Amino acid sequence: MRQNPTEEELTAAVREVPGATDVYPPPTVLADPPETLGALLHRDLGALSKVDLHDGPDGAEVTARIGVDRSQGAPATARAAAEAIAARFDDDDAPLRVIVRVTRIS
Amino acid sequence: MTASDPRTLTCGKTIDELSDYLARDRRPPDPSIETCPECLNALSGLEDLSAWSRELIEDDGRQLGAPSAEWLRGILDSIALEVRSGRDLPVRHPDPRVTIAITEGAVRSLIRSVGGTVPGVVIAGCRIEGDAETPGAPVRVAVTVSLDWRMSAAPAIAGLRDALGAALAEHTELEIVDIGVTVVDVHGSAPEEEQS
Repeated sequence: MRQNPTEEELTAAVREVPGATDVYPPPTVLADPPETLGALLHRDLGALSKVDLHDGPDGAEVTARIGVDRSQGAPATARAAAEAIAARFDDDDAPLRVIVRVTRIS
Repeated sequence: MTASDPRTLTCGKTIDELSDYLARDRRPPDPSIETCPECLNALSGLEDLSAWSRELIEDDGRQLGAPSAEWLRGILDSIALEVRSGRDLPVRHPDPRVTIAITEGAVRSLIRSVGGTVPGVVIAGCRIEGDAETPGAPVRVAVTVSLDWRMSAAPAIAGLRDALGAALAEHTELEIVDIGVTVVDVHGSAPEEEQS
C-alpha cells in the first residue's frame, strides 16, 4: 500500500527550499482553539505552521502557504517548493494535487 | 469591529491591535499574529510607517508642523486594506498537478516595501487593476505617494517606477502594462545625503 509522507515531512521539505522563509498554518488551524491555545501555552509557533495534507478518495491534496524572501524570484521559489512537495510522493501515477500560495514576500 | 471595518484584517485582527503589539516589541509573542501572513505584512508596513513618522515629526517640527493625524490615519487604513489576501495571482508551472499563486496582499505589501526604499517617497496607497487572475492579461499598477517637498518630482517618480517595475518583474508573473504614480501629498523629511 502506498505510504504518503507526513505533514511534518512535507513541511520540512518546503523549509529546505532556498528562499522559502516561512510556512504558515492553514486558516482552519488558527480557528481551532485547542490547537492554538496549546501553541500559545508552549510558545510553539512551529506546531501551528505546517503544510496541510488531505488524503481523500481522489488522491492526496497538499496545500502550502509560504513566505519567501527576495534572494530569488518569488515564482522560482514557489515552483521549487511545489516540486519539493511532489518529490516526496513515491508513486508518480497516484493522483496528487499540490497547491502553493505565496502569502508574504519579505 | 467587523470584517468590513477598514482597519480590520480578514483574520480579525485590527491595525490598532497590531500597533499596540508592535509598541510592546512583539512581546509576548502571539502565535495568532506571528503565524498570520496578513498580520506580518501589516506589521512590516507599520514598522516602515513608524520609522518614517518619527523622522517626519522631528523634521516637520522645524519646518512644516506636525504631520496630519488624518493623513496618517488614511495610510493606516490603506495598510489594513492592502494586506488582505485578495486575489490569487497565478504562477505558471508545467506540471498539471501543481497550482501556484501569489496573493494580491503579498504583492501589495511588496509594493509598499519597495516604495519605502526610494528616497523621498512614501507610499500612500496602491492598487492592482485589471484581470490579474488570468495569466498574460494586461495589468496596471496604480500607486499614490507622498513626496518630499525638496525632491524634484520627476526623478523621484521615475526612480519609484523603475524600482517597482524591477521588483514586480522579478517576484510576479503579471503582465504589467503601466505603473501609474500619483503624488497626493508632500512631506518634509530630509533627503538621505543631508541626514548623514
